[in-house]
Amino acid sequence: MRRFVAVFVATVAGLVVLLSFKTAPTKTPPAAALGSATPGSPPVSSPPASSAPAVASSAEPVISSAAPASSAPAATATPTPTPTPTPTRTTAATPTPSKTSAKPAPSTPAPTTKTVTGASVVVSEGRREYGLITVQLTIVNSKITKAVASEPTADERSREIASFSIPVLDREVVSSQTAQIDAVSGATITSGAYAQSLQSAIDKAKA
Amino acid sequence: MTSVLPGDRIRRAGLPASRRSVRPDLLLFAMTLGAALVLALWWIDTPATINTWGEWLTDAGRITGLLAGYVIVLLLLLMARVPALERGIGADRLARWHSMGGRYTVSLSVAHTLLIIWGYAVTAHESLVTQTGALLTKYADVMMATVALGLLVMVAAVSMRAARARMRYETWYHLHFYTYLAIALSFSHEFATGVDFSTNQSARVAWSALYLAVAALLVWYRFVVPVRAMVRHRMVVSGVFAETPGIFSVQIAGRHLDELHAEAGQFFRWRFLTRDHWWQSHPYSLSAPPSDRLLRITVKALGDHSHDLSNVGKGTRVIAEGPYGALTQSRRTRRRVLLLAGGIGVTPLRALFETLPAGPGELTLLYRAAFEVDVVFRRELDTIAAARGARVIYLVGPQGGDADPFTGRRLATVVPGISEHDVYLCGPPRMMDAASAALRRVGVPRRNVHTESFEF
Repeated sequence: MRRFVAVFVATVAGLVVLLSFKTAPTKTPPAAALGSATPGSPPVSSPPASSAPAVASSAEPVISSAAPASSAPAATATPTPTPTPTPTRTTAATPTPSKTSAKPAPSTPAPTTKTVTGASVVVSEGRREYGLITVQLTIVNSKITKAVASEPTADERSREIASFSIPVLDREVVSSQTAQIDAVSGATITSGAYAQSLQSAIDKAKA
Repeated sequence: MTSVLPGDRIRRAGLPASRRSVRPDLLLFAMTLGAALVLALWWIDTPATINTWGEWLTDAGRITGLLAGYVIVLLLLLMARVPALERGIGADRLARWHSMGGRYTVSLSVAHTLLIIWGYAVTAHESLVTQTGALLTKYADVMMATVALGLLVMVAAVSMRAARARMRYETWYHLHFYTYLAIALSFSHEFATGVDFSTNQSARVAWSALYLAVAALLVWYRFVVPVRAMVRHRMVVSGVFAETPGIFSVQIAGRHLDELHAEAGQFFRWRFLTRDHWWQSHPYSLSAPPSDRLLRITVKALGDHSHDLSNVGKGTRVIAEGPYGALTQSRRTRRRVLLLAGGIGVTPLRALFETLPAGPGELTLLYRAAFEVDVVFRRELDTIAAARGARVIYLVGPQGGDADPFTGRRLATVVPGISEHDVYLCGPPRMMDAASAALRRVGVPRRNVHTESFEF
């Protein structure tokens, strides 16, 4: 009996030692890592990059008056932080303040819907591989309205983790409209791969 | 070696072939190295980013699972009757290691199961019950592995001393065989669900190679070799002789027995091919030096099998696995030798008494028995002693009485100069414990005491 207790204690101690070497310090929140491939990543829906500077130029006051119709989305965002909606306006309205009328400012008559598929990223933990994640974004008027990700199906465990984490991640993308999303606790690896695929989808959408 | 017995025994000349044998510390080192490799597999697969309770539990479950699968194949190796292991480590020690390792493996398997269920449940934010159900029904091969776990727990339960005392050897033996089924059932989940194997082909190959190698050794040494020996040597029972009430000798005749390279002091595992006992093999020591045509064993009728053996018919075919045992003259380190026999433990020592190289006055046999009726070979021993100038001392009486040499330092007076002797010790466990303690008290170094336990 004594020997059994000694072996039991030694095994538990060994397990603790082994695991402690693989434990990351708890102050590295995975969330910060996500989407930070390009820190302060540019806003999601800004298709014409060239128009961005145009936003900064304060032709706005002029424009805003000129194109009230298309400024509906503008209401959601004040010009300074994320000039998300404004580019559409600026592209539309090549600043000709003189022409207050006529030229229909939004040259896109109907909402632009596009679907962007990000790169397929391998979900891997160290040297173990669990399958692929591919994030697909639906962008309407440069705004993400839906995110759908394929689930890694290498084995049942991956499916289980995906089933509770991916819906959460999908929702987060839509609410944050960026690649800055928090990892789902208990699905660190999945969240990381998701973020990578998401980033590539966003990059494609901007291009 | 010359014969000292009257009669026409044909004596084999020459020394036994030098044989490879694996030392215990070498085997322990190799097994530990293997365990380190198995743990290294987990190590390189796991990134240093664990920081949740669920991940801790799951990874602890992975480690215990890997170790359980590794230790269990080692247990099979210990029981494969590999000659190098039997010679170097000894059958009794191998059996002891096997039973200790068996308990450890079953514990690891149970721990693995509980840790995985718990870890998965925490990570997936499920209840333990739901998680267990999911594991059983949706994860590949886990159901089979669960049955395997049940079998292992059953085997562990019936192997406990309290349970074994209550059941027939036959029953326990059959139940123990279910470990093979458990290993087969659980193997597939290791590859299908085990994350360290499911996507790592070289790990799978190495693991399979280990299992195949041990399986090959098992089949070879426990099946092929005995069957080949049976065909080559054609051993049959050639006589059964009563020695004293309750003790009898069985003489076995065969061909080319010199090819077995059996030595005095060694034993075989004997399988008598009768209808009731063909499936059992029992170890009995040679009670006389082997010749190229005859072997003799001497048996005390204690249990079912030994009792039935006294009635075995002449001409019954015999399969002998072996020889096994490390209690041979090659262990000897000094000129003066004491053979210390307790009860029926005298059998291998009777063979050594005849053939151990020693000059007059260098060899002593101390024969300790509880009752006069237990003393066997008295005439043979006296003859040998007279012929070669050796001494035989009979000490018959109860433990603690006048005849007991293991109290205090009495051994030193019974055998003068005992601390300068090599001691070969064989007998029932309690007697051996008392004798070992007494030998230590009179100053015989442990490395000069060579033992073989009869009950393993």
